[in-house]
Amino acid sequence: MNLNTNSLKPIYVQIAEWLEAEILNANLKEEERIYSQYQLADMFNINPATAAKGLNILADNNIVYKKRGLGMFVSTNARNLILEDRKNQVLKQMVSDLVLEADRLEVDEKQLIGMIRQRIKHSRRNNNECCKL
Amino acid sequence: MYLTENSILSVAMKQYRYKLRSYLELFSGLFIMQILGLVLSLGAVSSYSSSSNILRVSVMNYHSSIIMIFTFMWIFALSIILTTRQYRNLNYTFVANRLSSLTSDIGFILTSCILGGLTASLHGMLLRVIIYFSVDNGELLPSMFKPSPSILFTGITAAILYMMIIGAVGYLFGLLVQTNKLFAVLIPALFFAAIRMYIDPYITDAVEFYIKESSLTLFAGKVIVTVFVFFLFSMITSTRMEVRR
Amino acid sequence: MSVVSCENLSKAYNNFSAVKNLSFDLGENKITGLIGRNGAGKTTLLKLIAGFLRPTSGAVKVFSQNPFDNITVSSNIIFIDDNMNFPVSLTLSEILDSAGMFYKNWDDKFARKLISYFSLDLSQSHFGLSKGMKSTFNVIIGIATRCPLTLFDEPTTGMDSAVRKDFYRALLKDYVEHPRTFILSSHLLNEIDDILEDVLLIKDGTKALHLPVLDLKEYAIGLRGSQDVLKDFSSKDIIHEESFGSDSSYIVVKNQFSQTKLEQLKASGVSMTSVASDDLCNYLTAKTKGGIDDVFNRE
Repeated sequence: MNLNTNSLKPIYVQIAEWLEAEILNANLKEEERIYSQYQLADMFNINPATAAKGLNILADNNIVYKKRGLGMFVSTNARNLILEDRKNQVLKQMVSDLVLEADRLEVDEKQLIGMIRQRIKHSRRNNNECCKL
Repeated sequence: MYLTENSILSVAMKQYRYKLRSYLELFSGLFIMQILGLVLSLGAVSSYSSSSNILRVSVMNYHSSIIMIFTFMWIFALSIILTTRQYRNLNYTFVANRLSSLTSDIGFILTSCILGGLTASLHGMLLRVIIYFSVDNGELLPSMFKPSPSILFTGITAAILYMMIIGAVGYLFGLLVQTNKLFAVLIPALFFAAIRMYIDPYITDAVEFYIKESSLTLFAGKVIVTVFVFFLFSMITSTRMEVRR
Repeated sequence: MSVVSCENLSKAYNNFSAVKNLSFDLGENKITGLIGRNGAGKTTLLKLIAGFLRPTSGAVKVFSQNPFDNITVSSNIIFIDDNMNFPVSLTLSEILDSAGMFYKNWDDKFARKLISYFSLDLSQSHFGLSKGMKSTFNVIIGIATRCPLTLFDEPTTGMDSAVRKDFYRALLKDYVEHPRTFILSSHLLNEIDDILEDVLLIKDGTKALHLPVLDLKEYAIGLRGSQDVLKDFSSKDIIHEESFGSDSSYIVVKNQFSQTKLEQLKASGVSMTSVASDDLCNYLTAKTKGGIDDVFNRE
């Protein structure tokens, strides 16, 4: 993964999100050791202190925990925690942006919900097609 | 945190070895000066001839002193070069402090004196060899031609000791000039004034203190003390200077 | 324990103050970037830390000692700049041997591997190298000596961008494997800000900022919008401003806003961008808030 240095999102947040994505797609399994700050530093060519801050975000949210002398491990319930968290924050933020933008473009509530419904239908159709194959 | 500790002496030794390797270009200067001196000495220093009806005599006098003088000039130049900013800066690339740099400089100068004294005397020998082969054998006056080992030893040692004084003087002079450019004019002026006043008993005594000494050991003692004093003053002078780089 | 600590450090030449009342502490085993404009005093500061210069007033302590004329400090630091003087008659290989003679932590195999990687010829003399190759060689020495405090003063002068990237990566990797304290002064903050931990920003010989680079990146925020909305910001909070077109402006202000305030701004049509660390440092050390455009703007 390439870090986006121009984004408004700090690098350590991008690292945390990448680790969460790795947990979600099971590249990192629960109760297994997660990358250390030094490994992350080497992988992403960043200072270990930056990587450590990313790991600390996960630790603060209980997605990883520290085993004394052994390093950081993925928590048992990590996957669910991440999904819940993403729903609350990321999706919420997207909804807020969506509503704001719709307001700016003078799209009313009925139109907006219609657009959303259409998109869901479209995506379901694609999923069915792919499974038929 | 694990810090490396080093004694000043061990660092001075390392700097000395580093300088021996790095300052090779200075020794090539010695080589050139001595060859030049050798070539110049091949022309006789003095000659005279006289003739009468029956007999004509001409004598040519060869002397290897030019080689020695050139070698003295070389050590003087070398010790001044060591005090220039470019060479002082070379000290601080790796590990150094003022005392270790001064000590290694002194070691380098003394080594150069030994080298210079030895090679100058050997060039003197070489001069004799060349003359021997270029002149008809019967015409050589053997009085000073084959010096005995003890004379040779005295000659070499004396040369080295004289060079040590010149080196120490040159080093202090160079340092003083680095502290204040005026010294570059002042000190030579004082020196030439002193030469002018050679008639003055104080100055004559000071010079003869060294030159008229007949015992090698005493001479060595005088030189060592003098050199020590000059290097002491050099150390004092260098404490006033910044390690600018 | 702080490896380097300065208290009201000043250094003046004749009438010019290169460093004025500088006070800071550098923590152990960190990579700190020393950032500032040309002539800001970075080189002077590094030479004071290295013990090459004596302070005019105030104090600098390295390993809790005065670094000037100090053999212990000298044995544990190395100062790399693009002026490094090596004797003309030595080959690169002999210079490496000399470094090994002086420094206990010298890793000769590692140094020679780096030399080979950067395609330097060991039998060449240092004098004959191109500018870029000299800089490359100098930084190899800097890394391979593994000194507890390693100082780099604009070490990448003359290096092309590929070599610079390799240098930063080599520095980071060796730092991870052998933690020690680095001070790296550079113009190119945008290239190194990912590998730095802290930034010390110098303006006209004084300390402008000293903070972790992550904090530096969040220090300010760029706001773009109509001049109406933005005129509410008082001039003392504005770090930088530019005008666009007839009505819009771009200003950079310290990021002290709550989430609600940010939402408000967004709602009133202001777009927000992060401020790159090198831009921010330029703004903070600029003479005027408008930058060079001030020269061109009519009064």
